[in-house]
Amino acid sequence: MNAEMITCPHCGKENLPQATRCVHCGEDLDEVFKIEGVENIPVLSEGSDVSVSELLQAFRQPDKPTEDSPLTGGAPVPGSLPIEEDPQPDKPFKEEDQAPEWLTRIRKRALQDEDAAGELTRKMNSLDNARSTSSQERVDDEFASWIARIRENTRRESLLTPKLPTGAPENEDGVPEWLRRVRELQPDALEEEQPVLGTSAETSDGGTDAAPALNSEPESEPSENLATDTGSGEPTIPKAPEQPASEPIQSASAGQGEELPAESVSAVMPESQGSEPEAESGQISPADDADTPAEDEPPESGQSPKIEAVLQGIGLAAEDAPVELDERAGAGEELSADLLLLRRQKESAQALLNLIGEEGKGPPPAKTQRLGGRGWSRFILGSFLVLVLAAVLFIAPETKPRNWENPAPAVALKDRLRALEKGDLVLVVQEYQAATSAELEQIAVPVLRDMQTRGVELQFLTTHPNGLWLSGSLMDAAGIPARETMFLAGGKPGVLAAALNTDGNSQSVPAGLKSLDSYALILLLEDSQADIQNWIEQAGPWLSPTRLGILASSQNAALLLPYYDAGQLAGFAAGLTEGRVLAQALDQTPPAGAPSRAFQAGLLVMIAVLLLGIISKAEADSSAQHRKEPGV
Amino acid sequence: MNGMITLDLLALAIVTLALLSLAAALLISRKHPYRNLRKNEAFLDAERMMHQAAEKGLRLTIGLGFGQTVGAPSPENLAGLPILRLMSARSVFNDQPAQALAGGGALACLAQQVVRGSYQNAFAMELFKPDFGLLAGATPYACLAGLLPEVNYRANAGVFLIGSHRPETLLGASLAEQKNLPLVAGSDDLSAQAVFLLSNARLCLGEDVLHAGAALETDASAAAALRAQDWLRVLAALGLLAGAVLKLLGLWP
Amino acid sequence: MKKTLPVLTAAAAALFILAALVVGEPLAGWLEIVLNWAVIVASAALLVAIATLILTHTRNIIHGKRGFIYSLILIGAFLASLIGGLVYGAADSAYLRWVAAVQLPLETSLLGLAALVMTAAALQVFRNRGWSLLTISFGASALIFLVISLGLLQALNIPLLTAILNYLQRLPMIGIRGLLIGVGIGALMMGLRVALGLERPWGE
Repeated sequence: MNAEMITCPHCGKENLPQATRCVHCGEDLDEVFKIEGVENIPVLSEGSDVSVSELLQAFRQPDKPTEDSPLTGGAPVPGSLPIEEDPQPDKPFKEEDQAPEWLTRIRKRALQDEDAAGELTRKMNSLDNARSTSSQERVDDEFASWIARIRENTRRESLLTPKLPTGAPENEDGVPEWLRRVRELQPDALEEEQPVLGTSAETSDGGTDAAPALNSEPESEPSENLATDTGSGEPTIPKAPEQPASEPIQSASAGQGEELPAESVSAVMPESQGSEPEAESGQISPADDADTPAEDEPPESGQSPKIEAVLQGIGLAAEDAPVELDERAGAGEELSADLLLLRRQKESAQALLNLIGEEGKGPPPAKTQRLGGRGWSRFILGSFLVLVLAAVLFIAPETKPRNWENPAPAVALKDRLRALEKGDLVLVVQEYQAATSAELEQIAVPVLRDMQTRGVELQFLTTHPNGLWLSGSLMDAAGIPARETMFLAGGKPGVLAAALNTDGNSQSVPAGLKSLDSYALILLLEDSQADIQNWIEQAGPWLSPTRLGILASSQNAALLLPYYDAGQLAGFAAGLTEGRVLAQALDQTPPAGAPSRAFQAGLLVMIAVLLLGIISKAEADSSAQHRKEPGV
Repeated sequence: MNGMITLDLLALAIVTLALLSLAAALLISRKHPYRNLRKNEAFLDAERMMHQAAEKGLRLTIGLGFGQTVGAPSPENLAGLPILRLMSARSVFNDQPAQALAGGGALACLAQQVVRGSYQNAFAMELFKPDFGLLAGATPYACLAGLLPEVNYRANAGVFLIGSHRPETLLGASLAEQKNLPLVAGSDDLSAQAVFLLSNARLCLGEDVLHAGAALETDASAAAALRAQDWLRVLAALGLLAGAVLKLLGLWP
Repeated sequence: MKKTLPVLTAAAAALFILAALVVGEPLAGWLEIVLNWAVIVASAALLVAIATLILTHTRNIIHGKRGFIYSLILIGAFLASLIGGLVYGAADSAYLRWVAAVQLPLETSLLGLAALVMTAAALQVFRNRGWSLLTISFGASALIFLVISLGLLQALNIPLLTAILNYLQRLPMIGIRGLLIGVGIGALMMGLRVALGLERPWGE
């Protein structure tokens, strides 16, 4: 490798010519640059005050070694925006946009002073001559066009490549797709390279992992360093033809189309330009090593066509720029420095990607993680419950109702119902949902039938839209002639309005609804705590305690007890069991036994399941205890 | 006042006492409203869930419960609104804003207003959509049917079920558990509290569901109300004990 | 003013209703009017909420969002029941039977599913929450009351056993009273805060 190493002005150690940062001390090397073609011009740091005479002296003594070796080659200044499309005049590099102050002064001086200008002109001419060297120009152009091709291919591939599903493993065993393909083509070369490039066998989805927000899984694969991938995958390292290929082209990883890869490519490219061995042509300066694929130079490595095929397959190979790989692996001080540089690059990018990936990882999402396979246990349990219920419904024989002590609230309600006389007006309020209609109809039908038989006048009211079509079913089941069901809108305000409607002329209540006080009994059919509390809290204070009776679903039994105990209810019956008791007390046919038996069967299953849960938990704790004590 | 009965007078006395307690609590704790308040782990987890949702770019879903289908929501129905306010304020510029679902018309409108207010406060009205506060269903089971697909949404970071929920909401809680979503649940319904205990939810039991503003330290008046409630509870307990003693002694009929 | 007016309105309405309930007869007529307004506003809110829902699902269909099929089904069912109700009337028995025939199986199956889920959840409650005072007391009380609910013990007609069962059945009242009192006080406080304009979750 003929590249001139540059010396760090801070620590004095050598670095690659294209390096922007010293690999030893980490300081910037931006102030160390070199004008192409003029190798020995001393570089001045920005802002340094240098006199013209010193400059001219330096120009006159080009062979004098200087401490600050400028950069060589026509490569763009590293660390700037090297992946400009090409070093065209309309897109100059940043550093070249602003000519150094000393140069500006020299030019001004040159305009003023003929001799100085002449001197400068000679130097400039020599620069121009150097630049105009055809090979160097060609190298520049080819490098720029190669960079442009890579970027274009990267962009194209990112558009074409479908996004991988969240959490989907992109590569088996963490091996990137492109690497796998390369290995398939070059198994021997890869075996040689892998010891050298142990760190470069990385996934190609570093770019994808750069957006972990949508990936709910922890990153199972290392979020790899695209910079390293691209850096180590510098494809066009024209070298001596006999030399083996170096790393496979890993810039395919940049084809993921994420921002990071593009920037990584741009950031790494100039730094890794010198990472690969020297250009095949001796004319190519070290800075140009990675610049061009040397368009005219045929791939001299026997493996290049395969690599090219791989590149073309992944969309990165330049059609007219045969890609040559430097096949020299791990030889020489320069290569080790390259690798060192690449490794540091990779570590930095890896750290960054890990940070991005770790961001937002808080405590585990659920209180207890759901273990896999629970779905089957749920299915089995559900099937068991259904089977038991079906068996009870279809197989178990009908049993005679047993006589047991009636619950006090149900007895109280029975007494209140018995106190009704012919012609008394009872308001039946339906406030249950279709799902619980079966249970409530079972409870309510005997009561309604009893009242209907004894000549009590029934009016139906509902505060839910559901009640409008559920009341028909209730009336049919109870054998009551169909009649209109009134709808009381407004929820709580509506009930309060109905309670305050003492003269029966309120506009807030339905036309047929009289003052609540005029009803001998208001019988609520409820399945919801909120509705129960509505009537007790809004209407109850305006009614005498014996006016409110409730038939409710079994889940509300506990809620109703305190209200009954406080004397706010005439009585209640909650659930099928108490419904049967009430029906028997009213000398009515109790509801069909099947639902009661199914209810009891369900209770038995629930008891069994609860006990099973306790036992399994105890057993699990015991096993865990035994595992902790291996000697036992 | 002539027609008032004992019960009315008692109710008036309780309301007056509550007002005085609230005023006293506001005065006492005006400088440090949240000091020495008992913490609710469920709401602390709720804050963490909001942070995680923001970082992961995912969504939080809150079910506000079943208000009156055709009627004004009761105070218990409003329990989820403070959480919704905080959630929407923190998700204004998130990838996915919070989604609120209500089981009553008025509650749905209130939820929409809460979300709109958050966007107005953030001067980001162009980001607001009425979809962020929706009526899930006009009846409790319809509301449940509307809630389940939202819980099943693929980009959920967590689920809140705060408000007047029925026991059938266990289906939503179970679905959240199946998807390994963190769940915060609380209801004023006794049966619903019991079934939430069966689930994997972080619980708000009893009246804790009404203390969201105080627990999240977003509303000084809620903190003052919590203190006033504690005083009233003590008074109620003392009153019950006194009544029991008097009844035992035969002095109370 | 734009944000103060709703707060003032809510506070005025709440305080007026409280006053009317206390004062009684002189304000009874006005109270009825205010309650009427509340019912109308709540019903209008339901219409607004339904309209928002329909618009949302219509947008989902137009934009072809994921799951738009379900939006189609929702809008179709809504239009069918709306048009049917408008054409036949809400009191028509055939229309009511048709609606009940659709709603009843759907809600019953949801309730049945809830029962199955509850059963499965009962199996895991101790695994999920471990052994704690809450879970142990929950498990014990659940077992006791499930057994009592069977009704088999009552059927034995043993006086002592019956007395014990009656006592046990009244035991939950203690806890329920406490819960109801606590929730009631909490609701009272929240209502007072709304009435005083202190509770304003909708913006500042």
